[in-house]
Amino acid sequence: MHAKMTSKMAAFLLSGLMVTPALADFPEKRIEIVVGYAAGGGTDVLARTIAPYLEEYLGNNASVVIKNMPGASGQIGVTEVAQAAPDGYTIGTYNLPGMMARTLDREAAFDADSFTYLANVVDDPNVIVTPKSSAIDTMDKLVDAAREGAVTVSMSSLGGDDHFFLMNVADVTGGEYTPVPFSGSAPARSALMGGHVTMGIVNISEVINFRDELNVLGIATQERSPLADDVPTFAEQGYELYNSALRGFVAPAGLPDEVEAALISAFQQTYDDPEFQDVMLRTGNPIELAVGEDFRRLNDEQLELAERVWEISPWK
Amino acid sequence: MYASLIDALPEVLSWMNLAAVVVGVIAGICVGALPGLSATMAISVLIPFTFGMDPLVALGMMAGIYNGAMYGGSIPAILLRIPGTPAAVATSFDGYPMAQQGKGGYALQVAVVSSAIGGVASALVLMLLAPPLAKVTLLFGPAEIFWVAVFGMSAIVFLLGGDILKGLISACFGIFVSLVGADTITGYDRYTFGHLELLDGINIVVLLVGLYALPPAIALLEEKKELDTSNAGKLNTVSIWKAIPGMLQYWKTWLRSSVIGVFIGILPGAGGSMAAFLSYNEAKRASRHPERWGEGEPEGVAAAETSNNADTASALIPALTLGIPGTAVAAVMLGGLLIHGLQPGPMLFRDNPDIVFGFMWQFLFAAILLIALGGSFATNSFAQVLRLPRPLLGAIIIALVFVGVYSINGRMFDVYLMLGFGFIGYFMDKLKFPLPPVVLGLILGGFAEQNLRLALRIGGGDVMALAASNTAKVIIVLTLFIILTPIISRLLRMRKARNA
Amino acid sequence: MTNIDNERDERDASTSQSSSITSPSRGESGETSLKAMTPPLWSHPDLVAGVLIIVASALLLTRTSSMPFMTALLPVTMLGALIVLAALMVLRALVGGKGNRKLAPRFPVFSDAKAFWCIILAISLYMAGVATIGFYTSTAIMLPVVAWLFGYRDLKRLLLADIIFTGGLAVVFVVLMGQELPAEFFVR
Repeated sequence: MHAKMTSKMAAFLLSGLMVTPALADFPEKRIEIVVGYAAGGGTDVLARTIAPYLEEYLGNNASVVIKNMPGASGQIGVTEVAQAAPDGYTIGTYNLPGMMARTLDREAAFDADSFTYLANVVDDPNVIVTPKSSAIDTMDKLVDAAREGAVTVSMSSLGGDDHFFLMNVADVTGGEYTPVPFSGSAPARSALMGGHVTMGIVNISEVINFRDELNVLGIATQERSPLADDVPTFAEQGYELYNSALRGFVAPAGLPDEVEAALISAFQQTYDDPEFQDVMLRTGNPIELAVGEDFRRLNDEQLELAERVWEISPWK
Repeated sequence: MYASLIDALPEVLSWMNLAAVVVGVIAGICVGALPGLSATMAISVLIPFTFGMDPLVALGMMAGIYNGAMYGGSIPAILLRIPGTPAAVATSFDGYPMAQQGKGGYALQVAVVSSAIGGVASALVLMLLAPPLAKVTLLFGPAEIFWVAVFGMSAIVFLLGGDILKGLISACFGIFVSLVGADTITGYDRYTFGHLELLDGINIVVLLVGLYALPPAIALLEEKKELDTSNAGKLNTVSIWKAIPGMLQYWKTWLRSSVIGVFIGILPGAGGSMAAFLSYNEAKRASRHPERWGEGEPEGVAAAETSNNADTASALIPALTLGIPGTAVAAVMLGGLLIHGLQPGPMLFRDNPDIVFGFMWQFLFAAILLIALGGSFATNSFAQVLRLPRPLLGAIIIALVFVGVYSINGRMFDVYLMLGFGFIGYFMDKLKFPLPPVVLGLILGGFAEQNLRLALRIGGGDVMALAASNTAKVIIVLTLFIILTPIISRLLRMRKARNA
Repeated sequence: MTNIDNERDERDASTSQSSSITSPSRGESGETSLKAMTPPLWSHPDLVAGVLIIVASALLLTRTSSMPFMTALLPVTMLGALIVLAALMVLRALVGGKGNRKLAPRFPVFSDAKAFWCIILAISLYMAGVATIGFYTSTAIMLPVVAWLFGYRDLKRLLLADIIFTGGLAVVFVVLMGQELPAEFFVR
């Protein structure tokens, strides 16, 4: 009994000795960012762009490496993060609403409580587009068309931001919309440009290179986007529509407070770096930072939206 | 636009950028030539590595790898009947019999020259016609793409082999495998058995390596007469420059296959192997002695190799202009552009003309370099590799298929899947089930289904909507023409015979 | 897929590997005995394969019941076609397998069954090794062992090839590319 106590004490002391300095000067080994997509995707490029800034602002000669675990629209990677040790050395990219939607439409090994929410960086609002040749070039004309008969809508997939936004549009405008889910936004956009569907829902970052080929009817934000300030918001046109795709970074739940604070502060400093802002703007990524609790609140909003859509019209 | 093409040239000619293309072509030939490794795998391994590099150096290496691998894949296809890349399957039809007849060296020379010609044609089309051809791509909505897939499937008829029953079983198996994964239109999972790794479907490279590279490795170890490598080492050593004049008789095949390859390349999603299968069939149909095909006809090698290189650069036309890659390799390559912040779209040509047009030049140089680098040096060194003792070669192939399949997505799951296909492939091979229909079924099955259902959804369930556009009508007529001509000509011949 | 003769061989092979694989006389005698006796009709490879395809397809068919109509349509069509085609193949083997060998020729399934199952065993061990003790270690062991077992006995060259191949892969993947293959047990 006594011996057991001593050994427990010893173990406790030992672990204390080992943990305390680790917390004091986190990070002391390399940090891995798990990316749920193949190298060269939007999320991957975000992670690779941000990694050197994190190294700089974490100090301590930190080294941040990217680990791609592609598959199942990011679910394989995020599952890995949820199940990793909460020590701050494994963090991962996190996409909304996709990751929360997966907890509804699939058996997911994680839920909203599986993560420590570090920072959301990219906030990519939805836009409605029609081909340049189309007579439908304003929201009002689109709504009229949709009330007369079903309008075909190309979008990237079911259970993603495009899809939830479409449900919102149908709700707010009335009218009939037929979702046509392509496998990805590029084919959805191409089908639209070829005039094979009437309208498309994509994100603003996906249309800025195609402004001459597409009419952008509106953007789902409170204020106009700096990426395309000639595009009116839906609210300006009398439709209360707000939605976007989010890309951020999470760690496993139960991260030590000091580690969480260190990581969040590094993300904050990165975001405040004008050089970083410039790179993101140049690559067409609309950024807006939300850290810690604010990010968690964004996540819960997205989950709520997904649950509402799932209840009214489950997509599978 | 042509001015920017010229403006981009000096930058490409800097020695760093030229060296990148040379290194790429050599690496590509090696990757293509080693059974188990593929261009898809090589480029996906390379992409993260190029982050932070100068874009043209990175893209030059990729252009080199792509072109090099498309030819390199023909080396083991000809010498061992192991296609090194999916697109080299059709090359083995006549290339392997040629090697068995002791004409392996000539087959390789035909392959390298044809590859270079296809690659040059494709690069020229990319340089000169990208914007107008992007408009052609836009004509192809889901309905039209569905008909293209049906058109491609008509090639299965020619691939069934002697035993039609077994050929059909192979085709059905391939199509079934293509259906594994999430059904993007309803969101339901098909045959994933709860494995997230299966949600995106089965990667063609995993299936191909399993079916084509593993059974021969087993055969090498069994050390029986199935796999004859004795001819592999004995390549004739006529200089490639002396051999070229004799090949000029294939100019019609080169032209036809280039056109087919370029056209298939600009259509999203079908790519490589389909181009090779189709142009092999077309060349065979046009031939005066189709009975010699499959028994060592050099023109068959020329047809397959021209077109599988002719869709490399053209597959980048929809990738660069619309973000929809024309082949599986171009899809990976798109990642190589994105990682340098090069977003596809018309603006790309305006914002980064030096890089885009420089990249096109690199494709042209890579294709030309094939003859110099892929000629006698590369083929002879690989012939040496294939002269290794069989047990050693078998063991090396086994290790290589592990590397090649693991590296695509960095996971063991794909390796297990590949081994499963290898087991099936071994028995299919022994029982004379033809393998090409499986490959074509996997490429086109799910692809056809998804586009059909998207088209039906767009048309409100109206079947007639599938044939509404003129583009669709043209492809339907073409498909009927291709399927019916052999039947009609046979009927005519029978009638003639009866009258005589 | 199985064949009476081969089943025996398989058991044989798993117990006494190295001695049995390499003795060519045993393999040959196995083959001649196969030729001499007419094997029973039920062991016709086409028949066995056909039955296996039918069973597998039927099992897979049961899973379509939970799918929506359009999702299930093509899988059901393909599996149905596989069952019909495989049934035809079985029928053909039954009718033609006995006398008329042209209708349903019997292709030899294994050129050397013992060797085949040994290779499968070797690949499985290698696979398990890669997943547990790491890629380079397993490859460095597998290459010489497999080549040795299957008949290449030049030890010096074997080790040289092993070093060049495994080392070459390590140079390309670790040094040049920084790409991770399944990690070694000693660096984890």
